[in-house]
Amino acid sequence: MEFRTCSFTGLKIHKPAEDLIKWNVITAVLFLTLGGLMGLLIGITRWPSVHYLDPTYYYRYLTLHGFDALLVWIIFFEVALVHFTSAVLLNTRTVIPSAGWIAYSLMLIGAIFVNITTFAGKADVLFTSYVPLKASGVYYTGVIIFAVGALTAFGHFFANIIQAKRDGAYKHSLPLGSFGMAAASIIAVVTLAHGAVIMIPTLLWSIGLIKYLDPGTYRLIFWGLGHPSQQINVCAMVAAWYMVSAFVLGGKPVNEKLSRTAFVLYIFFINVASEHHLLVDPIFSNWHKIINTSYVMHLAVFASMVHAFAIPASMEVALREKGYTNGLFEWLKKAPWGNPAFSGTFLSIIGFGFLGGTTGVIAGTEQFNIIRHNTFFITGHFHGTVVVGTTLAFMAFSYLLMPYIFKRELIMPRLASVQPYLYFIGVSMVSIGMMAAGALGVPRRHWDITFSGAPFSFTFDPSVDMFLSIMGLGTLLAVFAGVIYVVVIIGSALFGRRVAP
Amino acid sequence: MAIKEPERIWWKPYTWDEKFWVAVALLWMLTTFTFMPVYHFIGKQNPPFETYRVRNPEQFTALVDAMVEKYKVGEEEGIPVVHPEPGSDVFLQASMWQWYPILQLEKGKTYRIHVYSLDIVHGMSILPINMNFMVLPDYDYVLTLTPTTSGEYHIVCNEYCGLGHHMMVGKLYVK
Amino acid sequence: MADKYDDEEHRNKIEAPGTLALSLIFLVVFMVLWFLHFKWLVEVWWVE
Ligand code: HEM
Ligand SMILES: [Cu+2]
Ligand SMILES: [Cu+2]
Repeated sequence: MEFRTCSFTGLKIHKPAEDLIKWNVITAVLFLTLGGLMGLLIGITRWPSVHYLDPTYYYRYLTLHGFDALLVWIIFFEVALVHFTSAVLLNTRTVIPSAGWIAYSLMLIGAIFVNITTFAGKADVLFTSYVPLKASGVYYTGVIIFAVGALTAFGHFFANIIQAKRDGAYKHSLPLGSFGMAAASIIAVVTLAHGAVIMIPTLLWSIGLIKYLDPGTYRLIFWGLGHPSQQINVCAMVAAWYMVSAFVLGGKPVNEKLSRTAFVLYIFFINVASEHHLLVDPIFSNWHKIINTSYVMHLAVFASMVHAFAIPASMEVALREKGYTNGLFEWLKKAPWGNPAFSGTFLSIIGFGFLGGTTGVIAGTEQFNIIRHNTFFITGHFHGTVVVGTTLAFMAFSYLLMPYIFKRELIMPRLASVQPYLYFIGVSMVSIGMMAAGALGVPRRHWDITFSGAPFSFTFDPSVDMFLSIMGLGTLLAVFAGVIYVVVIIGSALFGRRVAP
Repeated sequence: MAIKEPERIWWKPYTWDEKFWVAVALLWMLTTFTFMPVYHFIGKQNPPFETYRVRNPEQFTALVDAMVEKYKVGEEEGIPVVHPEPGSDVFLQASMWQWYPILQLEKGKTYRIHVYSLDIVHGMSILPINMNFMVLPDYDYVLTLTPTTSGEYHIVCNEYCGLGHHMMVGKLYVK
Repeated sequence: MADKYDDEEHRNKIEAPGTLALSLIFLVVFMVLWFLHFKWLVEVWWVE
């Protein structure tokens, strides 16, 4: 009895796939908890009237926040999506489950290495670890082990779909959700290869086996890892959007061809755009920067604009078929706003587009970058993409996984149904506060913008205080909503009422 | 449906709204895309710069010291204030956690400003005008700037450079 | 189901007017933010 049939979706679920999904989701949520706690601490440190942590701890926890939230939480969740879309969605099995467990263990061990070293104060380098800033060798070892685990996990996707094809689980093409994760997995393999190219020499350098690493080249290859990995997140997030629309509303893309083309654009056009992190670096000429970021990046953005239309459109069409056809927006009013999987997804689409997307294109423009680079504006921008966008989308998706995979009902469904709204409002305040302060020049990664102890002191525009307070209040709200999320998910996984099999 | 294999009819024609949105989105993206090269010429808002490798940090330091010696006009908080000849090459050196020296420039004059880091990566943020550049060790980053506004400016480090990062503040005058 | 898309009318139909409206609002916000940045940009130091 390796398979069971899900009573909600009719999907045939392979037991080992189910276990892998469960463990990856739970681990992801635990690291989100840790990352969120760090977010709280650094958030209230950057709130001028609270200014909570000492500088040592501020930079240490900032390192951990970046690593645990951006890498560990998101990638563990994506691995769960790998198994969901390459096995469960195809009504087939996960091949060689042991490989899945090896990947899981490597990622866990790597993440623990990094966390322990950083907590011990041996790696206060922030998650970008720009050379020649040096951390202990254990830190880089941890990053490498984590990356190897992640590579194995994404590789699993291809093993699964090849087997599924042989088993006749699909005939011509993958369902769109799996197609999106296929794009994510392809980008992941390319990206993690960059990771190996840069992290292995860095490890050797930190333990003294290599004498010199070029700081400009490090930044180039690091962002060859760092930027496309955001594209993995975007693909996975968009795949989750499509799947929620289908599961909750029965929505289907108005045109699958368009959606698939957009995913393909991601694969082709995003990797080279990583140079938009280097727009004010000395290493490239202006022309190089212009050609690279303008041409290539904008086609990937175009792809996002296509998805951002196709998904709400699929929801609209599905709701209109249910009879909500009055005017432009009756379907929107009658949408299932009380279902956190739906509301989370919808808010994620809105937030990703308005907060993250627009500002990303602006900051990535050669000329505009000069007045935005390394200011708090950038931090605000990516809390729009990776928190309001990806994190909220994954939260929404995990509300579906509770009944489908964990076979549990949500505990506290009332609280769960307001969670996406609170989180959305909180993180939007964080994001907008940061962006406004950053537009006035407030730097990111900075402990004290009153410059205590410095030979000179610069006084920012007085409105900065207000913007940073908006960020601070948003921090409290976002963390509160984050706590609700963790309690609901972990609580449901452990104590939720079992649903009939 | 996103969770099922598509029916074979998924190569159906686009609807009107799809076509419209794809066209508008593509047009806007092409605009933002063409804008960059076009603006390179009409806006001239790309910072003109050159880059050189620095093999030997002492050479750079020697240039800085020579400039300080020749043009020093004062001192603030132990950091020399220099007023170099308008239109000349000037040097700005970053290190943990100092910008050295304090430059005094003249409005409307063009300078080649060499910025360089002695140790690790720093970020040069000129405030309140909010212009930002990365400063890397081993690279001499030559920015050709023409101050168009006068006043007292601060240079704040905006790339994490260790525990004293928040104390790394320098000054720049435009007269 | 399958036949629904065979007819020519499908091509000229608007299936999701609400989404189209939302998307256009998005586009306007995007453009406004974009052009605002020009205004901020003129203050930098290499523009005559
Ligand atoms: C409770 C929600 C969150 C709050 C209040 C929060 C707050 C913050 C704050 C205050 C910073 C520091 C910026 C600075 O001083 O330069 C920061 C940085 C960052 N956050 Fe968050 N954050 C949250 C959630 C997340 C999540 C879920 C992710 C990833 C998915 C994330 C990714 C990052 C990254 C990558 C950085 C940059 C770290 C660096 O500059 O090295 N944050 N966040
Ligand atoms: Cu510095
Ligand atoms: Cu610094």
